[in-house]
Amino acid sequence: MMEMYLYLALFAPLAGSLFAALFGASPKTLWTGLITSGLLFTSFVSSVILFSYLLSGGEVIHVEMMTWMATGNLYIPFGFVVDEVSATMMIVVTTVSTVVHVYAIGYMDHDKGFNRFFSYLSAFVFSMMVLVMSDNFAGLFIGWEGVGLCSWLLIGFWYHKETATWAANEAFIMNRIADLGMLIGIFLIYWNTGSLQYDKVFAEVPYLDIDTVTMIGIFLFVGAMGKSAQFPLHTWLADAMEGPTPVSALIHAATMVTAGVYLVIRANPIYDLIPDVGYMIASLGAFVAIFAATMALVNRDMKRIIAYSTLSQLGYMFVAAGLGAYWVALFHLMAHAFFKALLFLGAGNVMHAMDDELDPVKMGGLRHAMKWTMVMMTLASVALAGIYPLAGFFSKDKILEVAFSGDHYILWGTLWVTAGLTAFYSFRLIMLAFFGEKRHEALGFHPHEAYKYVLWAMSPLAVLAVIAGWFEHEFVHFITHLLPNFEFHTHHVEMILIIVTSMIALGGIITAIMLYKNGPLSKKWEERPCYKVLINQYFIPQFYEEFFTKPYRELSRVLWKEVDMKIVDASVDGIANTIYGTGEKTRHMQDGNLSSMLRWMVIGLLILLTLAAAFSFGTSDTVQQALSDLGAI
Amino acid sequence: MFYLTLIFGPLFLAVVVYALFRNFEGVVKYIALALFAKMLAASIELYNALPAEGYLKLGSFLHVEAFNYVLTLQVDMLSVVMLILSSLLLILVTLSSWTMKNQAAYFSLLIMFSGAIFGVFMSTNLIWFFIFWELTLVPMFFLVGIWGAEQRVYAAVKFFLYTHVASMLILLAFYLLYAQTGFLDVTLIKEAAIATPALVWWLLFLGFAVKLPIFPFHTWLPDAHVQAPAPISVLLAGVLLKMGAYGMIRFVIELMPESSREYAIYMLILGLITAFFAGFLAIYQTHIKKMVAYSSISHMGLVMIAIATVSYEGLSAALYEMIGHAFIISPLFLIAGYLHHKTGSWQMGDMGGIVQRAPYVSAIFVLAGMAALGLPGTMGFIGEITILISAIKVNGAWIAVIALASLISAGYLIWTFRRVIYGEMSPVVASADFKMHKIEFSALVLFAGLIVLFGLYPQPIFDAANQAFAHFGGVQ
Repeated sequence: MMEMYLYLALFAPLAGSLFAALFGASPKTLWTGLITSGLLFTSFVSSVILFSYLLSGGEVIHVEMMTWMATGNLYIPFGFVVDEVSATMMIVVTTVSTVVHVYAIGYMDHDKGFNRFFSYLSAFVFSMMVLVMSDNFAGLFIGWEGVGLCSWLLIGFWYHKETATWAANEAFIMNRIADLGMLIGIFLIYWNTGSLQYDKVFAEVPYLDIDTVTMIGIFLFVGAMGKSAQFPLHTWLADAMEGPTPVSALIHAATMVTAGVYLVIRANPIYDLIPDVGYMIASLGAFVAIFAATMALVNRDMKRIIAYSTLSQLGYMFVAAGLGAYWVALFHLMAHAFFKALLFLGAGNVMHAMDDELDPVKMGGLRHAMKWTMVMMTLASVALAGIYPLAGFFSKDKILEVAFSGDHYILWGTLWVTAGLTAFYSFRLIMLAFFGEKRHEALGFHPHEAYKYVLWAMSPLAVLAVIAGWFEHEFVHFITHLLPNFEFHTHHVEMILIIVTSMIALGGIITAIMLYKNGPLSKKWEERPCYKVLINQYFIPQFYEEFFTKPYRELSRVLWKEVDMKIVDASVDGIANTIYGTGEKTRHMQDGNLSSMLRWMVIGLLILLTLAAAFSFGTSDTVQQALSDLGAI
Repeated sequence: MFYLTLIFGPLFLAVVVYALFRNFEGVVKYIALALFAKMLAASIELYNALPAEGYLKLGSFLHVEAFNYVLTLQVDMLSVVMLILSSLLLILVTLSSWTMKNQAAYFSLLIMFSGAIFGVFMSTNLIWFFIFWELTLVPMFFLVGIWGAEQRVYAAVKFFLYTHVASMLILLAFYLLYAQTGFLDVTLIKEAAIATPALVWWLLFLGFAVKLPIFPFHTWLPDAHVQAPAPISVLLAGVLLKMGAYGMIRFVIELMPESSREYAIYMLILGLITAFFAGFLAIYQTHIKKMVAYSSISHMGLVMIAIATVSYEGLSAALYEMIGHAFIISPLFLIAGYLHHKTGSWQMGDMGGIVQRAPYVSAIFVLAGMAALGLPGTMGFIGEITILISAIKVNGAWIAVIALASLISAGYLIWTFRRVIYGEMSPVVASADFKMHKIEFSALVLFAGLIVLFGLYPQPIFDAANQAFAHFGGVQ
């Protein structure tokens, strides 16, 4: 019975995608939006049923669908599993994607590619479900690449925009580079354990020598770095904001980018064996957290600010996962999915109101026209900043506790400062967009609130952004059936930590309100070198262009123009010309007349066959001798 | 006797059709289609009739007592798979040539080719194998030389000379084998299990390597592919190159597993160079069909790598990739030809925004391209991953650099999409008429369906591969 829900949860989005694809190139039909949303809701309900089944103590559901590949010693079955981790992920994915689907019916209302959009979006959800529900690394990888493909299609959805297709390709290639690492990790797993099934692999891993496990852990993490846009593969995420905003909310905030975190959580038996690698992951995470937060401080593109914020929060998750607090990472992943998707959808409303203008400096005073959007975005920002009692408070605070508990004070300090920065840039955005003077009036914008049902569609996320943290104890109890529990050694300072963290978050908020209550800062600030560095993203994109893209193109050019044309092809032509020169007398044979050439060919073939026959009759001693001298026989 | 007509029937039919229907051109393609469908049916019948292991004897004909000169027709799983692939591709090629000019001659040559190719895959006698092998060149030569693009004669001659010289190496190797064993039948030679000299191995390897093609013998292919009409490019990539791979497996690996293992490292290195080199070259191309041609070469490099493992898994992976390559590269060639036909340009720079004019064709192009760069859910992924796994098993983890080759293909294909399919609509594209004949379009849809079908459910091909290589002695 439960298997049916499993298949329903998995395949309903696919059915929706295929249905919408049927009308992919036709003009907008509202049905595609409604039916895909309806099917996603089905998937959501099934996920909830599965989740509550597990919650009430049900067995882990495991199905093997088919033998996927079997040749020689290679045997890869294809199966799915619903356990505590995948059930949680399913809930997150289907909740956010159902909301985003309904929202997008309004958001994409006037778009020519309405049907195509829903086809891609549902295809994405299907791939994401494959990713989280697979019971083996092969299925995980398939989902992994599938979400990458859909992300590529959706970032470049407005394909007539050069920047959009460029950003899509950048994201795809960066992810390909990382996936290569992951693929190698998977091969290493297969090579050393002889299986790709999670349970078999994890049972086998403790018996492998530690160097191998380290290699596996590192290579898998390289894959995670690409999907979760960790430094130095982070540049694609900000550029991915070229896609439609519902896509940013679903893919580049709530689900796909957290796949890397999911991978580390899922592979926890591997990472438990290699705490050094875990520490490396945590350090990188802390670095990315503060690195991205600084870039968000100055940016003047609403969506990019939120994207950097996502990056920063992913850093937080990796700190928790790297330090072995897998359930904390999953907890933050879930809470973050809700409030960050809400933030993005709110930004989408603002974009619509402002005719796709993204610069908050040009907005101001939007609260009058867009009251409910303002309320929801502020709510999401408070949750993001980690203020009690909203979702972000519980999950983020736990991560800081994890860092403190392991005596990783540098990590803790970094995250603590980042918490302040997070609060600051979130409220900088809120203040610039919704408060202060109506700067947009001078620019000729006429903002308006979004459709009512769009706001209603967003409301579940708003509720979740508030309450998701309240179920911490139930969640811990549930998830530690599968994930190891984390021993906190911070009971004596717990309250102090909470207060210190809350203080800096509140401080960030208050600073932002004070600084920006009268609109943007003066232009003089933009002359400063440190502003220049931040707004140019530390000059990393330029660096990549100069040191990777250009040399790569140059190498291709040299190989083709110099090596292939001038050496390989020319030497063959040279041999041909030499033969041609000596055969000058037989030139009339090659007069370019096809039929006479054919005649010569037939004659030649006949002569050769005769010779072959003659040779075989007279395998005379002399011929034999000559051949054996040549070493032939 | 029936099987003999599968080979000589078409050869004979080609002449008759041309003579009789020269003035009723419209009929010829239906005759061709019916014939190829019949050949496909016969191949599937053979597939069902095969014994669990080894060869199915179909008869011996044209016996000449004096020396083992006899047309022995027998098939095993490997050749039956090739038969099915060839006849299926011939059908698809016929569909995609629906509006070709000068149809009587064109389809007569295709019919002729079908007989020759069946001969190649069905005969185990070396002399007859060689005759059919060479016979395939004749229709190919004319199909490229007459229906091709601007430089068709140069390309046709280059193609012919290259492969012909390679054939001479093969012929010499065959002679040496005969001189040593006294047999001309490949099954008998295998049973004789002689220690073959190095020279024979190298002659055969190089002979088939040109056809595959392998660096540095690949330069005929971009020219031939670019100049050939699109359906003939399909035939080149889908059938002719596969003859090289078939020959490599049948004669080099099956006949001489010992030497093959000894020289495996050379095969591996050449395969690696081919995969990378052609991949890099593809990036720099602005000519859309040349880009596809280099992509094709790059994938055949992967096939070479798989063969170089001289292992059971490797050969299965190679067979899978051979089929996958045929289905993936074909629509790319067809669409490249179609775009040239419609826009009058080969340059990707002149295109852009095609998706706005021809959304379905663009979707198939993107699907095939994604398959070529190894996206899961398509044949490209399974091919790549099984090749990697088999190669790693034999050569250790350093071989994972092969995975880089797939990264390179991601590079050039993804930028091709951007330049050709997406982006701003170019004036050339805006003014062109993108109508495509329904039947030609149906061929594209079939290719796309095959890519996804066997990408999601590859097991039938692996079942066939398991049976094909089960009786290969000396392969691990």
